[in-house]
Amino acid sequence: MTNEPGLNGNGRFQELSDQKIVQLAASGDAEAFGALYDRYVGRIYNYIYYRTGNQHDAEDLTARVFYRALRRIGSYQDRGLPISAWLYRIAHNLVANWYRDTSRRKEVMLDDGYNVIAQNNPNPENELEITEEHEALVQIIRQLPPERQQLLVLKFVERLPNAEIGRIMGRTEGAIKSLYHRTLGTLRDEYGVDATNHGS
Amino acid sequence: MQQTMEVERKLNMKFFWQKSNKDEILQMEKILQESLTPVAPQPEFVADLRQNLLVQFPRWYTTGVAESSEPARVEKLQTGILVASGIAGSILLIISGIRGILSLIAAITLLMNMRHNSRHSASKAA
Repeated sequence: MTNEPGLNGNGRFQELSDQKIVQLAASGDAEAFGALYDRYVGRIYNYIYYRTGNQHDAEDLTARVFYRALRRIGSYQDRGLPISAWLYRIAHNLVANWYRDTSRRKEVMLDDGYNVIAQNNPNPENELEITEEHEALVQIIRQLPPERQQLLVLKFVERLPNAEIGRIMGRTEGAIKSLYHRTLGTLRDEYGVDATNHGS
Repeated sequence: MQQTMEVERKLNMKFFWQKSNKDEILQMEKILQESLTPVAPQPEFVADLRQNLLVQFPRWYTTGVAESSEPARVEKLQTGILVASGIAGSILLIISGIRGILSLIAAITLLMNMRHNSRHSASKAA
């Protein structure tokens, strides 16, 4: 997602590290903040999208994440964590507030999930079946504790390695591995995976 | 012989269970890889938000510094007030306790004196 054409297209900042860009933004360089936005808007949107389940709220909360980052960039302190950890933390808190304030957890609709599957699936006759399976799985994922949801999004949507997930979530790599296996076990039990029936 | 067969059967079952468990986990991983695919935000949304952020950057940036330090100062002040209130409350509580104990001792002493005096006057009268 971060290497998507058009999202990173600010030549001046392309070679710079996140830390350097944050320093520039913190010293009042608006374009540096724009470059930071370009790097992370897709990832933050994805994270929020999979946590909320619809495009409208994902866009609303993504905008809030970057407005909050904008307000706080001046006082940002580098504690050796990746900048993504800071942005994910903001997103995580906003999603938690969103769940608490609106109590929408049970009303989440997977409207856009169908579209995603439809776009990715070239075989229309399997579309309905796959969409139903996808819906069931995503519903189960949304019942998991927030940190497990975060782990799954970072692992499967962002395709990040365990070490980086650990840095983002403030845990060791071993703890992430352990949490990951427990999460897969829970999902397997809830989703009812049978290795003999899902072999293909 | 029978015991050996039983152990072998148990080992086979354990192996089968472990293999089945591992297969299921791998299968779950595969399903997740297929289901959780990246979603691209609408390009118009991305562009509009970027523009708004850059337009608002100068205003928010300058006030943001002030805003971010202000809550910390307020928080420190609140913590200080809370700690001071806690200490003052504890001192008051201790003083009240000591006063209560002293009052109790005084009341007991008074009662004992009264009883002693009444006995003394009764024996005198007798």
